[in-house]
Amino acid sequence: MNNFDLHRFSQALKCYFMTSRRTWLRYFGIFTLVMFMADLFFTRIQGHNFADMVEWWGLEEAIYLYKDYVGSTAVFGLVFFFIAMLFGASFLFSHMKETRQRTTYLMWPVSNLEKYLVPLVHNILLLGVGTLVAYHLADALRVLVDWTTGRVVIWGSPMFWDIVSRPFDDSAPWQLTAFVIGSYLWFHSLYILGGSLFRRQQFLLTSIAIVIGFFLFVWTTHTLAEVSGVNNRFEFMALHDGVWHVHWSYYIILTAEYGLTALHYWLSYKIFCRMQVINNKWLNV
Amino acid sequence: MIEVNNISFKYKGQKHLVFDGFSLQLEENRIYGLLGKNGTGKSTLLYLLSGLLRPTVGSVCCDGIATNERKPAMLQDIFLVAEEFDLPNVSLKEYVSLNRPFYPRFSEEVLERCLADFELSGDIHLGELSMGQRKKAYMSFALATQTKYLFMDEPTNGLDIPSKSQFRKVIAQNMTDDRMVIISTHQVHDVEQLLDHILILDQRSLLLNASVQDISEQYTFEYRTPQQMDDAVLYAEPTLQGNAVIARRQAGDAETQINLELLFNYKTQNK
Repeated sequence: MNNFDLHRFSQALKCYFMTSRRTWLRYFGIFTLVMFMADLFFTRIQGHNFADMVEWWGLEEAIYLYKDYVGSTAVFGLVFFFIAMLFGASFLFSHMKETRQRTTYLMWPVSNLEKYLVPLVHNILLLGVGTLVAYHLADALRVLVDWTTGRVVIWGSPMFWDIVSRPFDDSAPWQLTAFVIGSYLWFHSLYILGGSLFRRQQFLLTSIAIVIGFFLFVWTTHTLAEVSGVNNRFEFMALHDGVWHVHWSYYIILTAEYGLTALHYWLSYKIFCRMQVINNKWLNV
Repeated sequence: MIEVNNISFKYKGQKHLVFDGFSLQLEENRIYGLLGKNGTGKSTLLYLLSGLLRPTVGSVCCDGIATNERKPAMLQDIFLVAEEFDLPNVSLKEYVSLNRPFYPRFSEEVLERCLADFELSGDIHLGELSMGQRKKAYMSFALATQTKYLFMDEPTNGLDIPSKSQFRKVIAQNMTDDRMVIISTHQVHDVEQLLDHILILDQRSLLLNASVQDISEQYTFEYRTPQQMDDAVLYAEPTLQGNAVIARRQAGDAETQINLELLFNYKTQNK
């Protein structure tokens, strides 16, 4: 029997989504509430009161400033989205924490690849789509509150999509788009790897491991540069006078970035294939 | 057929081996009773047979396929009812409709019959059941999957007195020629009438691997007064009814019902 069967995979995905629906509905509710609270914070608690701004600078200037406040909610929504995606990646196998959960999941008659992909797709969809919908719902609630309290109606959603589309617009070179996507996927793959390797506190331990790894990398390159006398400071991509300049080293970095991303996903899958019902207390090995 | 070939296994971080050069062959059309003291590796053996653990040396093969590969074709034929299991918070009907596609031989009829035997309704919600009821619903589903291999770890734990006889009834009713059931338990009285092969595990090895028929042919199990104790007695325990005795069965002796607890004590104390 194949390691991947589309029909079986879709059945497994349906089963996984349906049996975990209470969890994702709870997450969706929490995300919406958190973002709504953040929206209220950015538009009502931080900065000036809207009525005061109208009184001090007139309606037109107040609307202009208020747009900035609403823009902050869009930035917050985007940051929340990225963190939620990394959180979801690190919690890839959180449904297998207990021995009884592990037994049930590993004995499920679907292939290892399908078992690996089901929570991956579930978490990406749940946290990706869920966070986006929660952001727009929270924005709509904030607009409703503004409207009922007599404020000007300014939607944050178009600002959110404006920020998201910036790396993809016509003025950005494809190298920038590829690098932004690659960087995010690289981070995502690191959290996927951490989520597979660590059995507890996956998000925290992965974050700590990344920070330690980053410092070690910087320290090593700095020391090597000092010893060898080679300049380790260079710009592989820079914007000068409105024109993007791409150094040849960019292509090496981009290839390494995508290569490492693929390696992390593959290692994560291999760790999953070797998982047993009783593993090390802290590591899935 | 399941073949355990010369396996060694130890848990990470532990010094002692749970199994060392252990081999075993298990065949269809049998209900195995897996007995052993605490920590002798009964659950570990079930995990190894299911592919949930990987032996450090040797192999465990189910119909020629290494179980630790966890191939879907093999998993469709194995169901493990662990002592502690995970059930989602959904209705039984939904659980069945979501999970039955993974078991090609699933039988709605068997499910209904098992539920009826366990005095459970088909309209139950898995999140609203007691531990014992959840176990009965789970065992009903396990039997309805009609997998070739059914492994049960302490299946009667948490069941009330009537449910224990109901359990024996559903297992006996759903036993088929091509099926193998392994019951790992300490509650020997709950299952002794059901078993047709006994495995007694000791540290790293098997103390007994014999069919009930062979045991009955070799031994008699009876109560004797002190005056009736003779050279044929292999093991005895004082009880209120007299000495509970295992004796060598001799020509002309009638076949007796196996006293599994006595047999277990005899084997573990005279190894």
